[in-house]
Amino acid sequence: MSFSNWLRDRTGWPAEPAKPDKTGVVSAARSSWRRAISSTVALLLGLQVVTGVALMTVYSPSASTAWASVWYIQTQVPGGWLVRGLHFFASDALVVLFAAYLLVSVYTKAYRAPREFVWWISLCLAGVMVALAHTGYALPWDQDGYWGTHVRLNILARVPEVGPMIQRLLTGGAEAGHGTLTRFYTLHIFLLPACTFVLAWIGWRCRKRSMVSSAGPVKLGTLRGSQMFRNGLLGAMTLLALFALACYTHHRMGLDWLDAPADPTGADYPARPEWYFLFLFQWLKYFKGPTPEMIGAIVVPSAVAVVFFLMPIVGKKSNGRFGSLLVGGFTALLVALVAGLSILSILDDRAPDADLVARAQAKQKADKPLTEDEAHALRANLFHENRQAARDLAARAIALANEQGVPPEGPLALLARDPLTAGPRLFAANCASCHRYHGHDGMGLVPSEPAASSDLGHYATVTWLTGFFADPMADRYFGLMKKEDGEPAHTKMNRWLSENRGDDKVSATRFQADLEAVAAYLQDESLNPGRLAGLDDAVLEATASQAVARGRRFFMSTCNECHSYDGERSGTTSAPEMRGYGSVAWLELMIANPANDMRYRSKGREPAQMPAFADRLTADQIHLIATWLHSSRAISTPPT
Amino acid sequence: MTRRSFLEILVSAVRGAVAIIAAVPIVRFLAAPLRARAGGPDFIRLQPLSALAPGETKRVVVESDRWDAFTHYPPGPIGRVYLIREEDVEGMPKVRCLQSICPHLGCAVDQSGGGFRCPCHGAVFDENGKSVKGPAPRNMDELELRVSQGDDGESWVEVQYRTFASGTTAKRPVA
Repeated sequence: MSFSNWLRDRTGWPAEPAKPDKTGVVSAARSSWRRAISSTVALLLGLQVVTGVALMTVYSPSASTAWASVWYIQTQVPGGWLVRGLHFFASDALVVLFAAYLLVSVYTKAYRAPREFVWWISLCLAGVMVALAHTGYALPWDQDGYWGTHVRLNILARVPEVGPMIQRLLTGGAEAGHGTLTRFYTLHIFLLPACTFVLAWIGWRCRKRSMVSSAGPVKLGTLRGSQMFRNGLLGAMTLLALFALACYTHHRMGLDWLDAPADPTGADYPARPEWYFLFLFQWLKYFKGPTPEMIGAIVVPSAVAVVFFLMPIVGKKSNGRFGSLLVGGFTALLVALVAGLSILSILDDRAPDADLVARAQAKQKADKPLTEDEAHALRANLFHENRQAARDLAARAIALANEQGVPPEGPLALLARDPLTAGPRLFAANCASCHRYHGHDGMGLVPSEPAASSDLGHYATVTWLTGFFADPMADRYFGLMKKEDGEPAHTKMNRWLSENRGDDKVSATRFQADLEAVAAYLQDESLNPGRLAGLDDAVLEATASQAVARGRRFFMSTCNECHSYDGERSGTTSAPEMRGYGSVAWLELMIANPANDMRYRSKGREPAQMPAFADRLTADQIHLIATWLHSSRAISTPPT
Repeated sequence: MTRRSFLEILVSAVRGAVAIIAAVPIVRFLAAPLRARAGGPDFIRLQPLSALAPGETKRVVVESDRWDAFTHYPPGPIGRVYLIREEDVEGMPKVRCLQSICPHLGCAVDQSGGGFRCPCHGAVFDENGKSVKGPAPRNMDELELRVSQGDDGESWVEVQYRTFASGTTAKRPVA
């Protein structure tokens, strides 16, 4: 026998070619947009499976590797950004298409007999789509996904009786972590797609049985030309939109495709649901307290779902116009409510007027009561500040990953070891009780208790030093430092400056120029410790700029009387060692042990007031603070 | 009953028994998260008492080692708390500790004005963590705190760090 006959005999494929249809009926089913939508849904589901499987070959579902693998997909794997972009936007598109399908079905009364089961299956599938989207959002284990999951599980826990149990099963324990990710992954790649497949198959069979026409049962494989056209058009437009969105997000908006790594310690994350659930977010603002919230989050949406399920019965043909008006009216009302609440939510989160915010902040500081507008302005302002901070952190995390890759401990370790990220946090937690950094605590907040020490913004730069030499007892320098008895803690520098400034204009001008040179020199010393040590004048002039060389000479002839250099001083009064002043190593010793003999000492009339942080912080933590203070400075370009 | 029907019943019974025997460990496996951990957490040392002035409220990062299923992380940040020190009473320090997780839906509560505020849904608490406005179902959760003497004679603030279920009026620890 022939090959194809042998194949057909053993396997049944390829099937016998169909006999030509003598009745000439292609399909009596009227061409409709509703069917075009379901055809596009099928297309997108296929796309999700294909892109999903592709992503699965690289994605790694553990709390310490998920973020890194998504970063890898987006930045390193060729075309990874496109595959992930398509997968992400297709999930949004599926939700939109399902909503559109349901609305069109209500409008065309396609929920009526004999299509009741198709309608019910569609409702269930819409729910599964949302579940797929939510489990998918958690998978990168970034801040957005983590906190969104956290909030959603908390809402689920509101379901009476079984809520907390469901929450705990899905979390995989008491706190979200590995267990949550693996469970969400299982749901997302297997259980929910299996549900989709089963529901779609049942729906397909019910649909086939429901398709009747005046010419008898319709063969499903034959579409009208106009239906094929609609299917093709909608499918093509949707795919085009997905490609466009993926490209736009990747090139123009850059970092919006991955947030900072998930940080369970509550990093002030401004969580918002995805755009199509903003209406629910706004809705819940009107329900305050556990019981009202259960009503708003669980009871009302369930009631709405029940109404949708009952539509084939309420709107059945025998109920005539009354039934279908009820159904149509309810749906129209719902659409208006969803649209209205979404708009309200977007408006509520708009950036507030800066003047209003300033006024409200002043009022709050004075403990005066605020108007609704002012309270709202403060809330919105805080939201925007937190959102900007979140964006900055995400940018930093991705930049670090681009530079160094992700360590085995995970992306949080990447940030924890980054001076730019960890430095300000450590400063705010440990130093800001006394010090300031450009007037705040390093993290942008102004502490409520007053400063008791210097402002370290731009420490040991020409700017800082010039200001210091002009008035060392100003608040931002030594002015706030007090001994236990309330007397000023460090006055020697001020006294020396007053004594040596010179009485006449000529010497005062020269002294001023000398101090400027010293500032330039010390800034250089902070950047290049010991570079100019032991050089004779000729080499010095050749190596450094004029100002720096002059400053070095003045330092060695004058300042060195008190301030040691390489442990040696020409006089007897003690002042901090200046080799490497302002460098990372110098700052580390200052933080670890300010009473060290090479710093402010523990003896004498003006001993160090600052506690030794070697007891309270690890060497790594001290290094991070020092590196941040050193490298976040604005270095002045020295005059040549 | 024929021999055939007897055999059919017997086979079904055996199949059923096997299914149940196999199902029990699988159900226990899947339900493992529902079992509560035994024992409470240890006290974690936060900072010296001297770093907190009377009348000051400060946000402190809690550092400890932690377990996440199979991964044992070295000491690192596990959460944040607020330390509130009131004026000393008869020379004795008065310190309290509040969990910074909002009892409403679990967001991080910020300091705002003299009290606290949650940026997510606008819950407002006074300087003692008492809920004054907004959707929080209870006050900010207080944590067990003790002041202990270190080897060097320095007083250290130690806190029993735990988290509590969000969205409930009752304060239930998550374990």
